[in-house]
Amino acid sequence: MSGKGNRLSPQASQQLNHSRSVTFYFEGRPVHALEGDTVASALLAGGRRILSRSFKYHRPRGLLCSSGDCPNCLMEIDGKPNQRSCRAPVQEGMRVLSQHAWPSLDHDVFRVIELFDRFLPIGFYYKTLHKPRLLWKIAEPIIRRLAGLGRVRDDASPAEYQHRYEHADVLIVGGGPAGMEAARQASATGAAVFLIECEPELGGHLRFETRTHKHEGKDRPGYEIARLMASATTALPNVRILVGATVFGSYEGSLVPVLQDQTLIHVRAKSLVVATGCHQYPPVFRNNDLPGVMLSRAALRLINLYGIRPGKRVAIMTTNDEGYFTALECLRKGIEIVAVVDARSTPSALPEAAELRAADLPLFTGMTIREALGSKAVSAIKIGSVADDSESSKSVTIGCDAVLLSTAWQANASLLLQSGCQLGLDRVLGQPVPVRMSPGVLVAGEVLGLRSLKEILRSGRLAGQGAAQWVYLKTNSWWDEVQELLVDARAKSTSCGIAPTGQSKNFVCICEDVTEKDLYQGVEEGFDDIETLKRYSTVSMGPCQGRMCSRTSTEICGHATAMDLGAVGTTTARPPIVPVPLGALAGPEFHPVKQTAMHYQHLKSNAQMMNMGVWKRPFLYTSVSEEYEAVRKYAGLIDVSTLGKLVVEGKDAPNLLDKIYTHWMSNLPLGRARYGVICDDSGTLLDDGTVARLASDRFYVSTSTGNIDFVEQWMKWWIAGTGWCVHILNMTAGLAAMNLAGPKSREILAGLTDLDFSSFPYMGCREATVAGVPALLLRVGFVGETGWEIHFPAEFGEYMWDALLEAGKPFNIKPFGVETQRLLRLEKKHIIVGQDTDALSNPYDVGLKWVVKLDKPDFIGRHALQKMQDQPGQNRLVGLRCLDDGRPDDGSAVVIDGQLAGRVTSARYSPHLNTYIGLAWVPAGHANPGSRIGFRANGKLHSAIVIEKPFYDPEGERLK
Amino acid sequence: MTAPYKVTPLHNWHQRHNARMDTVSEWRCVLSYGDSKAEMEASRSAVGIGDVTPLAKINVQGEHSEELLEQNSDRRIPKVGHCLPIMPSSHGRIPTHLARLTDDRFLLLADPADRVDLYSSMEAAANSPGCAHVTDLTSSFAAMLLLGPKSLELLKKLGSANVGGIPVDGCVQTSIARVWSFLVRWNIEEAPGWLLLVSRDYGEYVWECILSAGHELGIQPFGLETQHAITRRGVH
Repeated sequence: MSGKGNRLSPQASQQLNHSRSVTFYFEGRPVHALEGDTVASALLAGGRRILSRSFKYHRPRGLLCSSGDCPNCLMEIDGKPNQRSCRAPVQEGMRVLSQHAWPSLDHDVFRVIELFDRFLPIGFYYKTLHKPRLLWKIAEPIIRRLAGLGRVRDDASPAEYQHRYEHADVLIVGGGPAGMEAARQASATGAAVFLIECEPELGGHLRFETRTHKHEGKDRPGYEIARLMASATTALPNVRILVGATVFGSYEGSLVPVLQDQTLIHVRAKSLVVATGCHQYPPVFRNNDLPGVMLSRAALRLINLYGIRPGKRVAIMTTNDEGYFTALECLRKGIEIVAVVDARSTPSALPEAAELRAADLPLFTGMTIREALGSKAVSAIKIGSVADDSESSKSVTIGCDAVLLSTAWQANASLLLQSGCQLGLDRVLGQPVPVRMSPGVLVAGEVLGLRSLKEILRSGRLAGQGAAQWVYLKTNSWWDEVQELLVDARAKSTSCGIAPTGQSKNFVCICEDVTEKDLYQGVEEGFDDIETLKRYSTVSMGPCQGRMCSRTSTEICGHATAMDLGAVGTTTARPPIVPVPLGALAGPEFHPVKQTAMHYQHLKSNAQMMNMGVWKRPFLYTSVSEEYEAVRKYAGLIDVSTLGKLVVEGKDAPNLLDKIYTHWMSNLPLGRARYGVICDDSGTLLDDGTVARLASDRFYVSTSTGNIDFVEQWMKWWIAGTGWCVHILNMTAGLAAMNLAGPKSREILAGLTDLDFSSFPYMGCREATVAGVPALLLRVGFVGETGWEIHFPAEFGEYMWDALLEAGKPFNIKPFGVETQRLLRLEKKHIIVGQDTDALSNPYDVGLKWVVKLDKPDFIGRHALQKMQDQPGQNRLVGLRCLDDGRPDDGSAVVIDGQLAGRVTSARYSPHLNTYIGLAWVPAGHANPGSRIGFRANGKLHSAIVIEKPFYDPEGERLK
Repeated sequence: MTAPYKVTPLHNWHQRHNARMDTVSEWRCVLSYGDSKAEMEASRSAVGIGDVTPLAKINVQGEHSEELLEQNSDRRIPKVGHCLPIMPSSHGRIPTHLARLTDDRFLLLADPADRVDLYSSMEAAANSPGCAHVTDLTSSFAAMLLLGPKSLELLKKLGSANVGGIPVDGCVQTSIARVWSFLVRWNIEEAPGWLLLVSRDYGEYVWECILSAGHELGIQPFGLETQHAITRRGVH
């Protein structure tokens, strides 16, 4: 395919580099384009008219808007589906494929669906495919296969999306003349300005206008003004410019997301200027979707930016003066004009209209387009009188291969609506315009309904000044000044609409193939509110998000319900305004991971690692039996750095700990530690841990791994407002910790420290030097053996781990992992909060009555726990010993009298008892020692007996 | 048995990337990753990152902490969100800086060689009546130094803070790669620089996130040789 067929001669307005060609591949065939072309412009230059197939009927579709607003040019580009080819610049070697057509774009067999359109009315799947039920089962996969746009390729390499965060004083969305003028004004005040433009260059609609405007005292063509302004804006201090970037929403907290290529930019600004302009949308007439039917601004883009003729014989349909400018542009470029159809009864009084008349062009006033004729592209149009729209009225057929539409405009106001502004119907202008603005949000340019460059620039100036005032003063008088501007200016921008006729093949929503007839039928079926009609018909729910159809569907709804347009209202404009790849929203893979100070020592020992929340922990080094034996007979070493560690200090620290824990802590002697639990107001168990007293006003608190942040916040929350001198410092990251446990642990430790172990009782704590490292030692017994938790600065982690294993070598020491620790603690019946407890557990029910000190005058949960003491709960956490070969798992069901009665929370095989043991919630009536209960495992019912005391060393002799 | 040694949370990363190491103030530190010139160049023209975890970090908090600090320095105490040098280094290169996190919470940032003396003197002073508590948090934080003209661009990819709005002597608590961080503007001469403190256990994760985000900006890790060469040109 060559790129010369429809090319015009080079012009100053074009953005093409005629000396550099680019070759890309469309459906596997090479296409020669020019640098500066888009994929769509290059294909059109080569003579291609069909760019896509429609969603439901597979009708051929061609270029309509050329501005990224409509769905007609969606293609798969380099493996990425649903790319708008009218926006995608060509690149060497690019691979472009059509979508939604088989076997080819030009010959799509699914076009046959259109023959059955009478059986596929609006909501047909709701009405026809539900009885018998089997029908939907058959139909659903077929519909799903045929529906949808594009396909996600399994073999495509995942795109790398990035996120970025930007802040500004003034954010201006839209780099057209109004946006650039606003930037200039705001920048002059010293405000930091961020200007976002979705096109590859600044300039807005001026970029493709050759008609002249007065600018800085001279008459200049629009594209030249655009370049001058862009150049001046780029040179402005304090202005950052982002082109080729799309703003797709406005969120709470002044967050405006911007997508540029693979990067999602989160922008927060003190003030937002919306200068997003407006867009044209097509009127409704029969076959209004045929290739060759396009919006007049699309034609101007093709002619002036890409040097492409929109057709060889063009007809222009207009309801305003803009159509005359388009006609003149075609005339000057030597494109044959077969008709200018003006719906107004009197033609434009502009000088441009006189030039057209002088050229003796066929001008039809008071006429409108009734139908486009053609199969794969437009070949003729039928026009008729605006006054008489009946089927029998006289019509004229005119042969043409392109129809350029300049009939209606709609403000790009979604950002305004999402920012909390209100729109109202301007009856003079015939379109919704902003009527109430949110604080800090300003608006400028065509979005206000302005068309003249002079007024557009004035509105930009006012918005820029107003935005800067808002930044510095949090107030401005901008809105009042704009009102004065609007009253006069809008009156010059009027256009007239085209009345709907209610026929099929008059497409309203080209994304979803919703016709005018569908909407009338929807209203007839009772969906007479625009919001319900939208949901029922899916009008405005496609890729264009209503840009091409929301206004028309509102008009049709109003017409069908005999309601005023203002009363019909508009549908809600939700973000994203344009389709955004899910990968862009997800962003880069920031999944925080915590490593302990001994992480690499575990890896060197070939530990099997596991995820525990954000932590990486050694699950197992060798085998549970080997590690278990080492701890029970000799010594074992486990990394417990993940335990939460808090330093609580200040003269009121004892008061705080008495308040937080159910146990007394203020009477804890120096050098002693105590087990404690934390409850909430309702007596629910929240966490457990040890509290060690290091000084009269300094405590060291450990918490469970997953609850450290909660406990820290919980304590700080309860300090607030007390006036107490107490401070909480989270030392979890700063201190590594390991538990040395087993009958030989004392001997191992004795070789590394000068501590006097004879005066170091169970639940004692000492600060000492271990292997030359300052450390805190807590004598605790979580695994049921004599043992010490050694806490020390994390930077010594690797050294200390190696030092302890080295010193323990003669005593057969082994490192042990989390899985072995779980078994060891289970044999001691020590609970793990969160695993053995749930959101309803209280200390009484889990067997921790001894930590609740109701003789304390106050602590959190005291009142509830006092009541519970007299009214015990219905369930108890008890120890279970299996009586047969049943192997319960964590979570196995407890069954009593054939009924589900509870659940096993932890279960392991106990080498000590040579059977399976566990902890389980059972009804209070079955919680007495010796009670027999059943549990279900591997599909069978097994029996177990309730055990009161720990399974291992019930009297705690080994801890002494 | 070997003598105790201190390693940063990035120690193993450094080893895996062929770092030349040495012991400085008991810490195993990176001298260079093999090409000091390239490290220097990246820090001058793009962005470089150095592991400065040994930097002493001493927390002072409590109602009377400002008075305590005023008594121990003849310089003015910074306002909240600012970090100022308050005394020269006694044994090392880096002057002691004081960052104010809240009205009653401060962080002293000092040369590793000054840590013991600084902590002792502050703790002794805090023993006087009043509510001021001193804690050595050196072990709690991994510290990273980002240097170079593209460091600002890099930080914008990692967190939502308005880093461009942080003044020359400013500091902010923010999220970097979804992790709580303390960020201090740490310019060296006219080269933009940032000191980043994150919880030590997240050290390697954040380091790798920064390197990944900075890849397209030409980021290079640098060692003490580059750091010293830059600071010799006049740091603060």
